[in-house]
Amino acid sequence: MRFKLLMILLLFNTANLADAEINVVTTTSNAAALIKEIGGKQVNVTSLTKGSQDPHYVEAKPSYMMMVSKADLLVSIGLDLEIGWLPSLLKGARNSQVVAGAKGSLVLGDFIEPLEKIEGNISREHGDVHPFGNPHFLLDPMRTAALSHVVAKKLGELDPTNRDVFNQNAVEFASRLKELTDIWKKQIKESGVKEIFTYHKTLVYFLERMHVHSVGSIEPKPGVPPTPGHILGLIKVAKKLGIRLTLVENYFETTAAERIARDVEGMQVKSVPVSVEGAEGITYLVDLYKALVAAVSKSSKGR
Amino acid sequence: MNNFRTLVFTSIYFLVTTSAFAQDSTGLKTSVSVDIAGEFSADKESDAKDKIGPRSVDVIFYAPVDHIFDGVLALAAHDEAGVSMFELHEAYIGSSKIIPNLSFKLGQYFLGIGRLNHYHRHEWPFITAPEVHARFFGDEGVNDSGLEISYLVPLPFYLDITIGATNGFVYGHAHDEGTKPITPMYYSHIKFFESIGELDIQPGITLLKRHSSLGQKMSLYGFDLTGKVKKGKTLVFLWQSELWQRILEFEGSTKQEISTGFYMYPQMGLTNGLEFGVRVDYLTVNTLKDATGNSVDNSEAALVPTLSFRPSEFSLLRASYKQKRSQTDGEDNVDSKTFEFQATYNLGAHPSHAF
Repeated sequence: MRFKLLMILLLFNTANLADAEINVVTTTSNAAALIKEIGGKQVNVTSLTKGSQDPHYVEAKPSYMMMVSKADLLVSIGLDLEIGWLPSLLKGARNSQVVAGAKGSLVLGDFIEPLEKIEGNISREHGDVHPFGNPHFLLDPMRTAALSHVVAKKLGELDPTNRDVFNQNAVEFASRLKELTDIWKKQIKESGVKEIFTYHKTLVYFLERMHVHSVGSIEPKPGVPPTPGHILGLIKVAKKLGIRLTLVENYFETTAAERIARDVEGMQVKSVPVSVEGAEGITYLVDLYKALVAAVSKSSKGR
Repeated sequence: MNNFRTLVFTSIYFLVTTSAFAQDSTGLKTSVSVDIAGEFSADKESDAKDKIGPRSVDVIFYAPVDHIFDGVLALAAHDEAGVSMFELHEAYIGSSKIIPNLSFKLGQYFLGIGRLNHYHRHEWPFITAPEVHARFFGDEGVNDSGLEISYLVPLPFYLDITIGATNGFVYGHAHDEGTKPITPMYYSHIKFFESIGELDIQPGITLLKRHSSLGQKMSLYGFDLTGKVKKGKTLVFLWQSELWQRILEFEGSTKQEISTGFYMYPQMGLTNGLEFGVRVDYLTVNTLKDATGNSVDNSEAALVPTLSFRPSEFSLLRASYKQKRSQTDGEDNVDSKTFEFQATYNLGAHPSHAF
């Protein structure tokens, strides 16, 4: 009898422990990876999009609504990255705890200084532009380091008993990223790669941090497929400037980049992950940064 | 009508001219969708109008009203026999922030039944309404004033239950007030969702009842099934279908009219924004009888191959060829062939849509 009671108590306690976890839903796998670093075992994190998925274009699936309806915290990127799908998910989820401005909402883009913020008149003629800035800031290890503290603060608000744990995790993770970033910058500097092409403007923050200049995108305008005229223009630029590397986010086709490579001697085309779990072996943000650093620094004869 | 038209023009003018500075602080979004459509006969049996022009213009305003409620106002201008008729499509207040998992709409709206009826016509994957939809819901759909409540059942799988009750004075597209029905119209729609590999499917079932002022009882039973495979921007595969049965009963008579129909539309995403699909329509009056009381086989069937070019979510060019056969036992079949064209574009914001 005593044994049975003990078992029931244990089960009860286990259930309580499970309930004590903060149920976090993120819009991207990079945001999920950041939350896991800071939240550790105290959070249960689910990403709505997979690492191999372009987060600009996501179907607002009812299954996602279910996830959001059960969330204690919804972490989004902001800067209009999810504008095409998150509003309908929130509407369908019917969870007032995670709507914009609520305690259970964290928009990471609100806490960074964005690049490529557009001033003046813009329209859809310019493609899928993000007027409030480029939303791919989690590819910059230092901005991610700064956001660690923002995440720790938010998790601490939702779970004050573990506030110190979250803060400590943030300090450690930020410090580790700073150390690694210095190493990565040196590694890329030694490779001599200074200018490259990318497909979309996903890598803007990463390249800026590593002092590599993206001198052209395969997309003529954000979200617009390449045209023959644009490809020919890039071939001319590559020949003139000696560009020898094109990085293509691995959810895009490499066909157009390979077309350029056919006409530019020594041009390498690399399909790279830009999200955690976007390729085999990319489990943590650090894995992702390492993969990107390797893609740039291990390219031969880069400029 | 003139007063209403003046009101609409004034509203649009006021909202458009003020939204520029109101947008930042109030969240007001304005969306204008223009639907240009045309049909041309490909044989002498076709009743196509052989003309093209703006079919409808939808002006939608939506915004949070305050920290609890959201508001929607949708005005539409239609071409009706060459005349632009302005009308109110939707005007409702709603919220999903009061009771967990529950949302509601109060006002005038398109009923949350079936599949097509949820969407404005310019958002459909084909140009004109399937035969069954046109017969049971009109060329566009059924909107009415009332209350609609949706509940996301907290289960490990997706189950969404919608129930609603509306005035029921009119049914379908009407420009008059209608007459008070014997009971208000009421309906229910239950949706599920499942992912099988890359294919996402959403089946749903509908029940709708109406008892008109003339004593006609209408019962509608429906099953809708939507399937999608989407990769990035491209809708690689779409399956959309609805099966409906309508039972009409007449007061003081034991006679019933039962009609059954369906449409199914498989569509493949090709390359560079091209999509190709073929719609199959079928409709029959199950209870049709001849003068001697014998059952008469009858059907309206159509095959509609459709090619769409969608360079972005804001513009679309579409062409289709509709081959239709009307068949009634004892009569000659009537075959008609029609070419249909459509161009749509959206100006300003456009509300994001769920699956």
